[in-house]
Amino acid sequence: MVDYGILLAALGILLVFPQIMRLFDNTLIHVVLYVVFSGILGYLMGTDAILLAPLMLLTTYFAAMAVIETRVMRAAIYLLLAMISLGFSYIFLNSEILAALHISVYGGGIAILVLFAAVLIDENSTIVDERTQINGYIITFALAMIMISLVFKGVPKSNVATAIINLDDGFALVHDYSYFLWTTYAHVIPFLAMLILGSLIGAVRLALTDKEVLQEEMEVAI
Amino acid sequence: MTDSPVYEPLLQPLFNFLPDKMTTGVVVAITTLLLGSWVMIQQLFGPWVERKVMARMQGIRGPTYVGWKGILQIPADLLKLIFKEDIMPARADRLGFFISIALISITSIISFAPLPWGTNLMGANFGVGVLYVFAVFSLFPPAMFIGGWSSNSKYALIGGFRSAGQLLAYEIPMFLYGIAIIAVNGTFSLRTITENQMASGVGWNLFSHQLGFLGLITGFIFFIAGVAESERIPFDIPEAEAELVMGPRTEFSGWRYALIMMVEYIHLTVNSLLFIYLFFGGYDAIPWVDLAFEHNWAVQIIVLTAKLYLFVMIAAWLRSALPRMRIDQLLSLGWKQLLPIAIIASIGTLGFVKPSLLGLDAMFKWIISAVTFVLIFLFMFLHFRSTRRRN
Repeated sequence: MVDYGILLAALGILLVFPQIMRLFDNTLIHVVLYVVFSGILGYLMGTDAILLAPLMLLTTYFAAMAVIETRVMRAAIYLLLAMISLGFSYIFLNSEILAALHISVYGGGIAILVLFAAVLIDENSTIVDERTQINGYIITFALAMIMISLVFKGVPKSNVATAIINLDDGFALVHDYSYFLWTTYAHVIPFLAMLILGSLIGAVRLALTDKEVLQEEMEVAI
Repeated sequence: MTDSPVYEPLLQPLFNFLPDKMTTGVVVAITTLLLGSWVMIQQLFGPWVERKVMARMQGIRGPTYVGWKGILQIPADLLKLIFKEDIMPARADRLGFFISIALISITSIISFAPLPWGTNLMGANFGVGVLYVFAVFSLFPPAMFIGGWSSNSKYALIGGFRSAGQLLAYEIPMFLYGIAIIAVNGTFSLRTITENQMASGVGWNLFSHQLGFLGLITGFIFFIAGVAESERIPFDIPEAEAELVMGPRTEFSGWRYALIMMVEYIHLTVNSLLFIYLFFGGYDAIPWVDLAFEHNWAVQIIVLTAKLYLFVMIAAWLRSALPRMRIDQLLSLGWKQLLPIAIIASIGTLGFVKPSLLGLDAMFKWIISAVTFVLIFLFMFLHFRSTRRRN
């Protein structure tokens, strides 16, 4: 049975931590705060998740900062860090293959695309308005909720020791994963494909519109 | 621990006061740190070997003053750099400047975890060993890019762009070459791949008849991709001195510069080690035979270190002998040549080992090997001919 008091306390810590960190502009204070909050969170969640607590705190902090930060490049850096720390969290949740894939695809591949795009935007421009920030807070809250529920549901059943050491037979994991993806969840794939196709067509449409606007602007400029 | 490593009896009793599950985690962390330190010590002497080899090729003497034959030159340089003033350029992005160095160095150290230095001498026997190393490696392009951007310097920014583009271009073919070996062995574990090569009657994958000699092509090109991943001459486009001063590293000084240069050698070391594990027998001393002394952990460490230095020398030889490529030549080599060859070679290797995958009988496997060789040479011939015509 989940102790809802502890769950709420842990959730509160995850959500309050980024705001408290923002109050100070000193690295030493940041480190001390991080250690203290990690300790409290680890204590609340028990010895099973004590190694995961610092990672969870980092993940939610970076995720929150990615939406709070108004400078585009900084936000992209925070997003990259959130991806990486989330990837490493999977190792402690017995999903090492998912960790490797998450880090290489999102931490390596997608993040570099986001960074390339961010560099092309004016460094001082602000693209985050109040509404976007509220959405960001909601998403961060959801992320914190998911992580907390993962810990309370997943970690006590597993063994952190086996999660780190006894990770044999990666191929069996891939096989199982593929099997479920293409059997149990096979009906989801056409919808996903339609969604991706829709976004692709939308992107092309937007690019063409931008091109027309740009051409008009250039003609006016000439 | 399931692997009963040599260090376990030494470390386990020291942490008995911790909960059982934590003890294992702490022991893994400490072991990775110890083995990582061993690799870091190699970083102090590897560059000395490289500079001596390069000096010999250029008809000069190389480092001579500090220590015997100049062997302590690199530790002396390191000490000097650590004690230098830490300078950050004006208007540099503090977070990016710090994060890039932290990401680069931390990911370098943690990439040692699944690398076995002996049968039972490794940080953690990850089931996803190779995949883990590649995943960690994939964090270098964004880190270098952030470093270049945050320096607030045009040289660093252009270098960062180039570095990210180059690392991406060579990561994919490198992984594809590795996939053939991984699939043939049926595991991601570097230890199991090495142990398979140690068995009696089985040669190292580079020239194994069990792979239809396709390991020769995949291994050779994996090594080239590894050198390109290390951003070394002839692939040092990101830091081309004549154009970009030091590329993304231009504005880093003091301990940051020491760290980033060390990471460059760690890259070379890890790429060489990956090549050794996947193609060159790992810590196996003699191919085709399985002798008792080969299973001694001290022998295994010595053999692996010797192989590592052999590849450091080969890298130094390449660095002295070859001119730098242009950025377009480099990207063309990665995307237009290595990637298609990687796909052909991987399918060929899989087809040779498991012909049923291609719907063929086992008697056709040598034909598959021959066809793969012919296809690759034909592709290379046509590509070079079209490139020559364009130029």
